[in-house]
Amino acid sequence: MKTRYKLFLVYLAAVALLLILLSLTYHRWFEAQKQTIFETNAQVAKSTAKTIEPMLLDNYQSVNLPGFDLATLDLPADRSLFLFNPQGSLVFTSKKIANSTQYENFNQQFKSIRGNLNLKTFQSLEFFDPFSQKPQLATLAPVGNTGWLVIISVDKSLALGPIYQLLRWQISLIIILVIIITIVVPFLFNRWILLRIHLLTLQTQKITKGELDNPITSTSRGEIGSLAENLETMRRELKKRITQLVKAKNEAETISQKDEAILASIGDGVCAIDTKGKVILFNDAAREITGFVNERVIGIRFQDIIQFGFEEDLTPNNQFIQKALKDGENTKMTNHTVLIGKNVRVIPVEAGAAPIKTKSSQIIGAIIVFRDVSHERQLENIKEDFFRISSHELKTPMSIINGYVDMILRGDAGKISRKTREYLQEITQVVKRQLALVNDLLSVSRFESARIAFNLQPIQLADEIKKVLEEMTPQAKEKGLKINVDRRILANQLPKVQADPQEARLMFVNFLGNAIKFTEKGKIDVGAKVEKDRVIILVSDTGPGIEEEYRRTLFRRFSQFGAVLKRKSGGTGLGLFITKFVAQRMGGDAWLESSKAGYGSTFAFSLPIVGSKDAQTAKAQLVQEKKARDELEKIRVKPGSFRSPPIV
Amino acid sequence: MRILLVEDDAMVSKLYQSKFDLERFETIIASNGQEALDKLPSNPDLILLDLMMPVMDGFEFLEKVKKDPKYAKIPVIVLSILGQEADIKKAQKLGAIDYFVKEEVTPGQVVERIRQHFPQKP
Repeated sequence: MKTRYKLFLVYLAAVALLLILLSLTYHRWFEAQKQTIFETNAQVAKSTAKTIEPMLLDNYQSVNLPGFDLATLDLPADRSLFLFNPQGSLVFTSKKIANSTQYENFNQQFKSIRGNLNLKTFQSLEFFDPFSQKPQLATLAPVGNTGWLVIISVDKSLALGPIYQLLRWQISLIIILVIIITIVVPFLFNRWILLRIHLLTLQTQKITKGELDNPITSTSRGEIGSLAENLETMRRELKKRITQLVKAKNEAETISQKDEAILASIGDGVCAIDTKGKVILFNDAAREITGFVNERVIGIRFQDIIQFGFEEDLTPNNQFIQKALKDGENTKMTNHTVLIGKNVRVIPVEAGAAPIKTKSSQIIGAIIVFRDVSHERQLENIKEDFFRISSHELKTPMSIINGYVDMILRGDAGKISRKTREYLQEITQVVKRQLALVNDLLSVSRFESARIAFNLQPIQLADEIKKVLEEMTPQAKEKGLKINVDRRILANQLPKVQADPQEARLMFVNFLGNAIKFTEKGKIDVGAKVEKDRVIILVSDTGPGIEEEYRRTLFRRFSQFGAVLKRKSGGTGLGLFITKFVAQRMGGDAWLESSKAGYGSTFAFSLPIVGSKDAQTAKAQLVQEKKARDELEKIRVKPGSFRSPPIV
Repeated sequence: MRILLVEDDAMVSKLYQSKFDLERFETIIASNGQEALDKLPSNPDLILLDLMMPVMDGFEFLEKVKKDPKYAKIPVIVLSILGQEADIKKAQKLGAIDYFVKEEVTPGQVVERIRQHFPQKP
């Protein structure tokens, strides 16, 4: 049990004990005092009885009343005398009797008391004095054997007064003491607790100020002690946490400084926004590109500063940013996006947006990265113009040569000799070759800049293949080669694929042409394979096959194998590259299926079935490019501006 | 037969003019779409139209001439470098009755086709 409870119990016990002792002591004292009084009374009674005896008359029937003299009786002042005759009536009293009623009362009372008394001996008794209306302590003494009684009484209060007084003093003292203790002790105890608490408070105040290094202690045990312990644990934890936080903050600052340095040096514009679209970061490159070099941009909604739009018509294009912010998806706008910056400056850009996520994958903003591609666009435009012009310029002279040669051959310039005819025919072939080369070269470049328009539509590959076969079978026949065609192709049983019919034909022309060119004897097989999403056309020959070392670069531009081709038959080495490129752009592919040196090769190209994922992707891409191209056409320089004026 | 030859390349027009002379066609030459429009009142029987020209290209001229009720009926054959199917289709949509890709044909072939279209014209 706690000390203070013990103390309290001890205190209570002490008080109780004290009170008990006191009451016992006083009781005894009382009794002793009473006894003394009775004895004194007895003495007085005895002597008074002795004095009275001789005064009795008539054979003790009456008393010589006038002869009574209190002085002779030697009655002490504080005592009263009562004299009773043998009949029990009060004959004489030293007290002043007010009226007869009192007298009667006393008689009655005495009579009732008398009944209980042994009238022959001394005895003590207590009664209520009707005359003075006060309780009395009295002693009764018989007058000899006369039957007369003498009672000497004293006021009880008078007799015991001092004791009462003392008792009252002592009790008051005790009460006061108890009160004082009851007030003081808790008060002290309170102060004791408050002092401890105050000490703890002082220590915790230090923590508030930031001093976490001093341990919190308390000398008391019990609740305050445990509070102190807890506070100390808390202090230690706080110190640990704060140290960690400070460390992390410093690290973050270091990283942040590093990031800032990186951001400042990135050439691309970086703009970070919060979930409300307000700018929280805008690096130097962004400022330069948009033109807002010195303006305040942090905290402003990005739509108020920069606008992304479609190149064609400048309609707003912020969906890619919304997608990143709302759906958490990374998006890219590589083509046909412009940025409208300060002073309505329109800048072609490549832009992308990505969400900023917390560790728990909550989106707290987005990062928009954009790059000024005006330079690239310019180059593209120049390239585009170059192709168009080159196309025109390179081919026109040749067609003119062809035109005149043809006219001469037709006889428009008169009769020509056999030799002349022969030479002119050679010239025609050379010109054809030249045209083919120019076409191929320009095609490659134009394909690469993705400017060739494909007209994607559902086609029956079998139809296109058959058209080509019709034209090229004679060539094969001339060499003595047999062409076998898959039954399904002959029966138009292939599922429809999405492709540009002209390009599909050209791809097949390329493969079949190569097969015919390089196979000296044997056969050519045209097969088909139908898969879930695509149709594959296979052209197999019994030619020399392709050696291992050429296979890797077979479909590359100007591949080594292409060089071999060129030497052998005047090809350009570009056909396979173009075929593969075109196939891929239409959502398919072209490849060497198999080859065995000395036995032959099988080439294959595939096209996506209408509605398949590849078909959709290819179509979407080309639609977008066509849209852009159409718009570009409207705003660009008209053709022919580079030409020399006509000589008329 | 009167042919309006719309072609900006002088050497090409010379070539075709030579051929047409041999065939005894009358040739009127315009070196761009605008000139061609101006030369329309000469009432040609056929317009041989190049597409890539300065000032006004072939497509624009074709659109304009077909809108003009006076000259809309004149048949137009396109003779151009542009060989993409899209261009061919566009020209046909605008009203051309035939299309030649320059490097694929010779003047002789063009004349043959013209004779096919106009068997009765000398």
